[in-house]
Amino acid sequence: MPQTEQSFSTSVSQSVGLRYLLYLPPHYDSVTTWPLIIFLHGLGERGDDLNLVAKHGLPKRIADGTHFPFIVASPQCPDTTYWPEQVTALNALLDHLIETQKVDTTRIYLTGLSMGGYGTYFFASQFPQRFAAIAPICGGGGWWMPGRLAQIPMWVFHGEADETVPVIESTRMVEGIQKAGGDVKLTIYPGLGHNSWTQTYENPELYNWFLSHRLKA
Amino acid sequence: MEEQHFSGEIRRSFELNYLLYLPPRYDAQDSWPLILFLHGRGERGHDLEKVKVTGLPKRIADGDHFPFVIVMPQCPADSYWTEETEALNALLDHVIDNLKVDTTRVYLTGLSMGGRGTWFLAGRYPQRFAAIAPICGPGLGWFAQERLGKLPVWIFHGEADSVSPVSESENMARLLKQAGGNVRLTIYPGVDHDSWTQTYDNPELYKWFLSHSRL
Repeated sequence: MPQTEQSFSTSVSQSVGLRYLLYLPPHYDSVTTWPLIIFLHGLGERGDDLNLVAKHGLPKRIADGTHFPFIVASPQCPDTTYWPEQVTALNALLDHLIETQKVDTTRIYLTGLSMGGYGTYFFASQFPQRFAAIAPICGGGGWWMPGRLAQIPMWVFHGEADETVPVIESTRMVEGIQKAGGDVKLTIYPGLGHNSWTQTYENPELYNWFLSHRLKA
Repeated sequence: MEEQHFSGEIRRSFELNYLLYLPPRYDAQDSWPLILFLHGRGERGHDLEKVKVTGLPKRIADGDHFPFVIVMPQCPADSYWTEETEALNALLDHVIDNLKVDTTRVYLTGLSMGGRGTWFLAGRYPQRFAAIAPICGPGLGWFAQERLGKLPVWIFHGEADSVSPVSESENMARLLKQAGGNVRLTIYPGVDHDSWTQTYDNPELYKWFLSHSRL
């Protein structure tokens, strides 16, 4: 037998941990459960200083005093690591949030910018049944694996003139999802560079769109 | 917003079926170089016969011999190599514990989805490999740039690839060069997605692997 069939299985115990910023909506206590948004930051906000996480995107809006009818968890990716390899930790964080906060598990949303857009695809692809909708912003890497992502309502955002992550990453992704019969929306901002997140997170339609989607209980 | 810290202990199970090739006269030597081969998307499933359809396992099935221990796992049908990196890492540990492997000469290669898996697994565990050869699979540039350092990389791609554009490999080669990496790029003129058959038929690939070892 030149090559033989083998099977391998193992079970290992793994320590996971993440720091995160937690936002709770006003009147948190008066409602039984709340929708949850998980926000994934970009490459430059990695580290162990959570102030960095509030530099861009949704946690910045919250830091600036804006309120939202969601629980918002904004974890920080440790230095020199990347969201695509933190999926196990992110999933454990999501379990932890559900155990410790009043989360409506039929309304969990995932969004992220740049590397966090990549992370959005990777996390959602591995656990598609957990998310009611996702919004990756100027991310990529997903076109290769539209399969499972086609199950999730998705709104993709990208700047047409992005030189950091080319817009083709998003257009190819959307084509793949459409071919697979998925429910996907694409917004390309004409002439805009890498920062397509500021206006995306300022757009009230994004939050309305999230809330219009819910997993079947 | 409040600062929070979450930490926990979780239990994970990994399972992979794989084809194992041992070189002739395996017993005559104390340790052997190892190649980990990752197949493409169409070979996923729970039937190892499928793995023999392309690439290195096909050559072995056709009767060719190699001076390497060769491990050829099968990705579950609904998964991707990018999601099996921890399982593959555990498989490598298992093989090293149970076979006569020279841990300074562990090589990684794969085609298409396995090329992408090669980029990811090497990026995740760069210290494990002495050299890698991703074939027609896209990687993530920034990930490779920060992680691969001087790890020898030989990239292969068909110029006319209609599944995974050649620009993906050109881009990876450019980014690794920018970062001072040790990278070689072979583009086959006029070749479509199947750039693996001639790559695995090329004796230079195996010589190139063996010319690299971790100190």
